[in-house]
Amino acid sequence: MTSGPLDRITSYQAVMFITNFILGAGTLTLPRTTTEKINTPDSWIAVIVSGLIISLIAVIILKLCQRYPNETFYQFNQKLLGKWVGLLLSLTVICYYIVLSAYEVRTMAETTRLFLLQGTPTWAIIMPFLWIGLYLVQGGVNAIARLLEIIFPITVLLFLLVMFLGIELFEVDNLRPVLGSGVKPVFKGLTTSSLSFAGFEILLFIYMFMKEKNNITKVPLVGVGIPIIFYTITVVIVIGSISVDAVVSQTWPVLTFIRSFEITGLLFERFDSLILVIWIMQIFASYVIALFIATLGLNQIFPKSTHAFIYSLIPLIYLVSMIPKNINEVFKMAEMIGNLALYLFFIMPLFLFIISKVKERKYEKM
Amino acid sequence: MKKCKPILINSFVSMLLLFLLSGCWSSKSIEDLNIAVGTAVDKSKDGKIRSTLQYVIPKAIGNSNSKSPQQKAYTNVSATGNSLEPIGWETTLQREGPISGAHEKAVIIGQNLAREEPIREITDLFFRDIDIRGSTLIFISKGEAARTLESKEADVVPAIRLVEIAQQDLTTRALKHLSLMKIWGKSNSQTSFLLQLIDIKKGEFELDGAAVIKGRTNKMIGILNKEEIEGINWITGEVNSGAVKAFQKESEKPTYYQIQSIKSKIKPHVTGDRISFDVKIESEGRIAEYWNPHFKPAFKNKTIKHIENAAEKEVMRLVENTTKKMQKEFGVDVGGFGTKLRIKHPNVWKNVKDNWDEKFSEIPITYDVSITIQDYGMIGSKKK
Amino acid sequence: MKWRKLNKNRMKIEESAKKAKQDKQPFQESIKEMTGNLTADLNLIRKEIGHNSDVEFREFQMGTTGIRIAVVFIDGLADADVINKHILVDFMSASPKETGHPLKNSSLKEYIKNQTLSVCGLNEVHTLNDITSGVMFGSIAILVDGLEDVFMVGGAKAKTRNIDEPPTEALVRGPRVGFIENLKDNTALLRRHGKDQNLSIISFQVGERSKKELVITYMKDIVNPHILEEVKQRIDKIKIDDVHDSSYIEQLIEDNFLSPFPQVQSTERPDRVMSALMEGRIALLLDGSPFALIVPVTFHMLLQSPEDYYERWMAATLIRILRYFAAFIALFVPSLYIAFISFHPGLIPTKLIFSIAATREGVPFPPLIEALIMEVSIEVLREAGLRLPKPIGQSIGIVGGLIIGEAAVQAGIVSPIMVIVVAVTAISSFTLPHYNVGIALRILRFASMLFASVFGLYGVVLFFLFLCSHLVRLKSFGIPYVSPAVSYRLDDWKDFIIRVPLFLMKRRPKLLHPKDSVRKR
Repeated sequence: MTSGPLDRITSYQAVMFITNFILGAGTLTLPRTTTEKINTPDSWIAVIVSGLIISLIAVIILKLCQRYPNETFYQFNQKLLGKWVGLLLSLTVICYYIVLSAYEVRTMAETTRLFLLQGTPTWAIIMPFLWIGLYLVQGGVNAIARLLEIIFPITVLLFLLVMFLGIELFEVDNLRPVLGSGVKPVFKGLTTSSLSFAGFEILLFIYMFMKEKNNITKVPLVGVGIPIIFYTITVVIVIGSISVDAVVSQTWPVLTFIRSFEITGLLFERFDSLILVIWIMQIFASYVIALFIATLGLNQIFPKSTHAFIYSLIPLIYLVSMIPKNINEVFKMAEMIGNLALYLFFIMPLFLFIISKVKERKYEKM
Repeated sequence: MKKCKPILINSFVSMLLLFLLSGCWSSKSIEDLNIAVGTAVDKSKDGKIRSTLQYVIPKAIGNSNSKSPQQKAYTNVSATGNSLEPIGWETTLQREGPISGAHEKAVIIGQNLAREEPIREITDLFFRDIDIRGSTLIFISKGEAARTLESKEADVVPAIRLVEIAQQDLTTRALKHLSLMKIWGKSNSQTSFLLQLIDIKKGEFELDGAAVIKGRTNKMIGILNKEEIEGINWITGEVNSGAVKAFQKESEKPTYYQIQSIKSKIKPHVTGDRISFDVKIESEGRIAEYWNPHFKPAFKNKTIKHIENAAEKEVMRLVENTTKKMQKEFGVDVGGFGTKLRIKHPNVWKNVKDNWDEKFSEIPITYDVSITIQDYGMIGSKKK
Repeated sequence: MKWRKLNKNRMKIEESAKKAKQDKQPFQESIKEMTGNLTADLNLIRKEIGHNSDVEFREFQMGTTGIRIAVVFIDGLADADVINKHILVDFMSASPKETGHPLKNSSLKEYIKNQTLSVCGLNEVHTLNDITSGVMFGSIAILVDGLEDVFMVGGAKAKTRNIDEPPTEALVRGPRVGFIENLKDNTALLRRHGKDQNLSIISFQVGERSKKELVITYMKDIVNPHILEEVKQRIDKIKIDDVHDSSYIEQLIEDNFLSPFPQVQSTERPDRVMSALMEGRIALLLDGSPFALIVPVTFHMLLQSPEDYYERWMAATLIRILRYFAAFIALFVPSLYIAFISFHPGLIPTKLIFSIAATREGVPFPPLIEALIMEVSIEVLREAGLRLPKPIGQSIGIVGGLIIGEAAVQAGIVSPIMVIVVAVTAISSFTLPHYNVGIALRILRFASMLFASVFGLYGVVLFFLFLCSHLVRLKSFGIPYVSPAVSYRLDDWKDFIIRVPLFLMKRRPKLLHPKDSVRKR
């Protein structure tokens, strides 16, 4: 009786999936990555604009999914592209998610090793993290959805609270002039800031599990909207506090910002480790979702038991996460994932959407 | 439905491994740590760098019963080397326990060193280190920096006292406290700025004047005295308390205006190639001290006007004096004029930003000071 | 899903039990019918249970007719008043001659039933097995010469205690009523609560040997039929020789035996049961146990007390927030302390770190060992206090808590701050309204301390994630354990951390999918 209608997720939960998947390890470097190309304080405009574009794509993805209400991307792409091309695409997507989860885990380990546990070996940090993710993924889509609902308010509220505690450092002068060099640099930064929204494509995979399937355009809109607000606040406060010149020079600008103030009179005086620890939960969410989608894909392509796949994925993710030799290679890995995401989820859904439209026309003519 | 078993094995194995790890790689006992609260960096006699770390001895300041009355609350450890990192390791040879920089409060750089090496490079370690906070305050010492970390009183930790004094921002005769993180942005954008200067008087330190750091070289080039700092604070409006002389002639007896707020607005004007600045300074406050030999009761508005005028003149003198010093003697902009120009006229700024400090020396600046006295305390008039 | 596996195991056990039964079958199959011949019948019964010293046989004659009658009962268990005042008096004074007919078997039976026996609750049985088991249960068997049917009168009259306020769930305000060991009294308590004819009380028998009576109660028009079916199935699957207490039932029907969290709520309070029934939950009562079981359980119920509804809403809300806070302290404070002082001294305010460092000066153990010493000694003290008689228990608490704590600090074994941390933790865990939740948190606290001592704050977060992962997977009778916190059901949040005024609680919790969801119009 546990399966059946209870195995569906609500619209709230779908929003949580989108939001939590977007907010991940990238947030800690977000002010730098968005500002690097722009080099003016206007990167928050780029974030908002790219966010709006992304929500449009997310809505298109929703429309695409609504044509195949009971299938995931892994299943319907074969109908659209033919068996072998679809299979190839699915395998690429699975690889993408394996690498993505490995990247999330590695970034988590890097920051943890740096800020929290100097001297603890990376494998010791990663392994319990992987195990707990494994335990959760075995619970299926519902368990994951509920966990997301638990950690999302904790992480986001505490993160924003700490951000606002540092408001005394904030100087509007650091953000001005708005559009001082015109809109050109903003356009230059659109691609990189769009990449920070990677994860909105999750709808391709979870639409099948949704309880309500119609009139849910607000799901992708809210799901992307929360990260837009969240990112904008982060970028504005961090750049406003430590200035553009400092942001581009810092490895982890968000942590730099949080390190640069202390509040006396509270139980804690500084918040960098605290915020990192809280953000680990958010990274955990992204990792678990990526792992879940990868196992879901393997499960749907090869009709075999899920558990065999989960168990074999864990060592694989561990190995992939250990490939980058130093922090620079980790950042390079992020860039690589971003580029892959650009083709896989920014361009391809549009392509698939057009194909499905064309096919529909054909049927109508016949 | 083979679900039960894997979970059992999983949780069991993971727990087991967790404990087998016999972890605690990073765990350090808190009582063994050398908690560094201050660092003084000097130029040693042989041209190398000498760094002094101040450790707190918790037993001496904690309210534990075993406190011995004569024990000092701090201990200073110093060593010499080419740069700060090797010196840090050198000091571990002198004292047991690892160093914890997480509670570093103050970095004090000796004048000699600050004039020779860029501030950015001297403080590189403090920015790069994970433990040291960006909120650590930075100072320049007039004499030997290591001496500022000493005190005659037993239960005082000099670095902490220094920071507490600096953070109160009580008077316009000292700069607003400046943290490492704030100077990082300025150093990176090659902006000139001021750092608080400390002097030693009778074995105890005192905040006295400011060191001028030139943007391009990032080195110290000169000193502003307390009066000139007052001028800076009136221009920037950063410190909002203190007092100003409010009498002009020596024949008048002392009258002092107490500042309650300063609002300053720097307005850049660009006409063709010519750049000029208008600075509008508004202040509200009260009469703090008024030796009243002439029976001009404060109940009368005329008296108040008179005192306001006197204070305005004094402020005008202060800011103009400082401006002269900035433009003529040092040729640097430490009053935040460049930032305003960047915001209001970003295109003009692009052309001038590379040699802004030189350009700044030529730019005409006009001041407009208006002071409002709101009240005069408990005494309105005195009888002869 | 895990319980399915369990049930499978159970079914296997069941099958093997059946097999064993079949082997024994030849003995039991010879069901012995009563013959109607009193002497023969009595001999049969004597042979079966007559060796027991407490089985009494009393033979006499019916009035003036000369029909022999025998009464079989267990001394002390059967109601002696009924035998003396009704059975003996009725039969001895009966004069069936007035009817004028010689008594045939059928009319004799009718006569006894209709005109002689002045008791309610009369059963007719005619196999030896039924008679013996009835007698053993406290009924009185009346055998009449010439009749194959045996009359069974009454049930056990167990000695019961008074209906007092349960000591484990005392309230400041609220009814001072608690369940007792007698099932009939307990169900009567529920019936007396209100006149709702939808209150269903369905009886089951559990225990292969002891055949205890178990009732499940629910509101017929509110309860979700899926959950009801699930509960019935799980009860049917219980195959055990004896259940001593309702906690046996709890352990046999729970979803996940590996979880530290109680998945069935036990209570002694009828008002609590009734309010659960009104929410669409199901209560189980076992004869001989004063603890009723409530299913399905969701996490927030374990931090609630009936008093939350008896107090006004503001007070109730504040108390609830306090309880959640206390639960957090009980779970995480020692581990956070360990994490902070041995991994992240940078996070603590500078002045505080000096005083902590000063007090820890000279303590020879790492924080984990220090914390374990104190935590374990507190647990030992608590256990000792429970076992000892009350007056001694209190003095042990004082000696242990104050003197040992003070001495340990003086001797430099632990630091005074650690004593504060441990004491605050212990007190917080006592604020939880359910004893078994306190135990669960205690177990988890030790786990989180171990995590913290290996990985610091990261370990605490790992533990939190692990705990959450476990909680979100846990279900109680198909209802997610973490509801209504997640998935977000804003309607149900009216009665979660905050309790809104009663007039705003218009609907029953949706998480149970009740049939009738309107509580108030």
